[in-house]
Amino acid sequence: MIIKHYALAAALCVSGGYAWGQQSVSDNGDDQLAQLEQRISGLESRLQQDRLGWLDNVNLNGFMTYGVIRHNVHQDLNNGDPVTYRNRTTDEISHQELSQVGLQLDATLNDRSRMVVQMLARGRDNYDLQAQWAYIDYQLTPTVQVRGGRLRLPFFMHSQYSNVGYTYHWVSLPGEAYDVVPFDTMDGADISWNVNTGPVSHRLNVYAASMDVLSLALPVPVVYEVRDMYGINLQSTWRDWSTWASYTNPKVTLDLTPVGAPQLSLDESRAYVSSVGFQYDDGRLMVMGERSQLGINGWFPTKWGGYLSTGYRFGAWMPHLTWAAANAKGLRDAAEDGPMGQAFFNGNAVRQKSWTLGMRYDPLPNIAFKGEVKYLYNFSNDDAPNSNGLFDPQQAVDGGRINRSDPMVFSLAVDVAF
Amino acid sequence: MKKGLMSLALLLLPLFAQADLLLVTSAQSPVTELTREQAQQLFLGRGLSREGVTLMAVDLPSGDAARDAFYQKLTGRNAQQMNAYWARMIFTGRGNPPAEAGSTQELQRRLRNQPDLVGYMRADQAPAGLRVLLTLY
Repeated sequence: MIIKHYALAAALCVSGGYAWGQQSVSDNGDDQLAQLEQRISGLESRLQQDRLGWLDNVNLNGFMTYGVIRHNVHQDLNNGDPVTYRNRTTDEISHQELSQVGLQLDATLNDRSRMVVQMLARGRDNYDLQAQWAYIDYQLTPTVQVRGGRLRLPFFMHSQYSNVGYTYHWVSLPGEAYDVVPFDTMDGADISWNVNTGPVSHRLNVYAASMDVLSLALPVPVVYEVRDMYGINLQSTWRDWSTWASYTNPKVTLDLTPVGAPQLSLDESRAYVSSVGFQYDDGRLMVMGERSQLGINGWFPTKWGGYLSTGYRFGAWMPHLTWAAANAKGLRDAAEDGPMGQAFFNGNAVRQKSWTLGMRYDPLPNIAFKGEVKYLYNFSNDDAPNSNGLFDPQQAVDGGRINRSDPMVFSLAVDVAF
Repeated sequence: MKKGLMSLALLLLPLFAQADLLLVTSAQSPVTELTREQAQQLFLGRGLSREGVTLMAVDLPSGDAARDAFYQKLTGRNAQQMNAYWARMIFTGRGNPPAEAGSTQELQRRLRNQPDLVGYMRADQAPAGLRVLLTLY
């Protein structure tokens, strides 16, 4: 898994150059020359050892996904653009949407500190580099770890490794639960405490951070300024079982002047994000479930999403089945803000259910092939009348509906990690 | 009848014993035994301290049959699943897999010299001077 990089050639070059400089003084006889050569070879080996010792403390890991995805809703929006699923996928095959590559450098600085940087390049961002993790890690005690810098959001059970497809069975995590907060990273600090109570292992994590979240759910892109965000999460593991619970309490500011609705702007509105989940995996049978929720005071809908998933491994093959749902509440509260409030509610309200049937195939270590078909249904109810689910919330603002009764999303991917 | 079964079992014992895996540490270690759950905590990177010692796990090289058998017996996971498990740990900064010894012989040498290390090996390869903490059948 870990590749240690020994830049032997570089070490030799540097030590060789150093040795060459020393050699210029050695023209006073054979004995002196021999002595110097001995010293040089000693220095060379010391330099090599120093360099190897330094590089020995650096781990390089990486992961990559190449995938294709498309849906079957062959319809245009009112403005002529194609209907999208999760804001990006269309009815044409995309080679970019799922594809991404990440590299992680983990340097041990001393007995207690590490520096970790993970850079991610997504196909959908034209492979522009983004820092997903960039932090200094200080081991306060053998069980308490403090980190500061850029961290991935720990909102949901799989959030912190959602970009590493190799770590889970789906091609992509259920959007119903994970798009509740469509954002990955925060800037701040956290403390993690690892403790075992008898046979049960726990990891308690507390953090303070802030972030800016770009949203495309309204007619004009807007930025949610998330500040004073404090959160806590607990993961407990016993044999083949593990449970997850998290709660986060930020303040959210949103300026809606650019959308022409300054009266609906959010000014340090109290919000919360929560999630509970469980996983069972005995090596053959896998079952997991999770429920996530987001609420912001004001016209913003209270959104929740969840899924139940199971799979069974037959050797290298693992067929799996997932049921997922997303819903939104609070239309009546939003209606108090007039038609605009109601429209903004609809823009953010997502309601849908889905069945996902997939297969993961692990023929060799560190590579997995995956395929998935997702069938979506049950889009609207009284609380979310114009929802098209994760198909274009913007169109809901326009009052349109997708016209297909069996909308499906198809995806194939190959995931690697080292 | 019972005696007959017993002697059959005794006869077959060496055959089965070959497949057994031992969790071993230095004879100088203050730790005398580990439970299955504790071994899981240690080898899955969740940390384990016993008798005031923070224990450190050591792996055999990847691809080693004893390594694959060890994780299968201890966690029910095969090599690919262990890779996926460690990918989650590594890419969330929660830990790295145990250090690898180059061979069983190197593992034995390191275990003898460093009392906080815990490793595993086939029962028929465990030399004198190492303490058995747990037997995985």
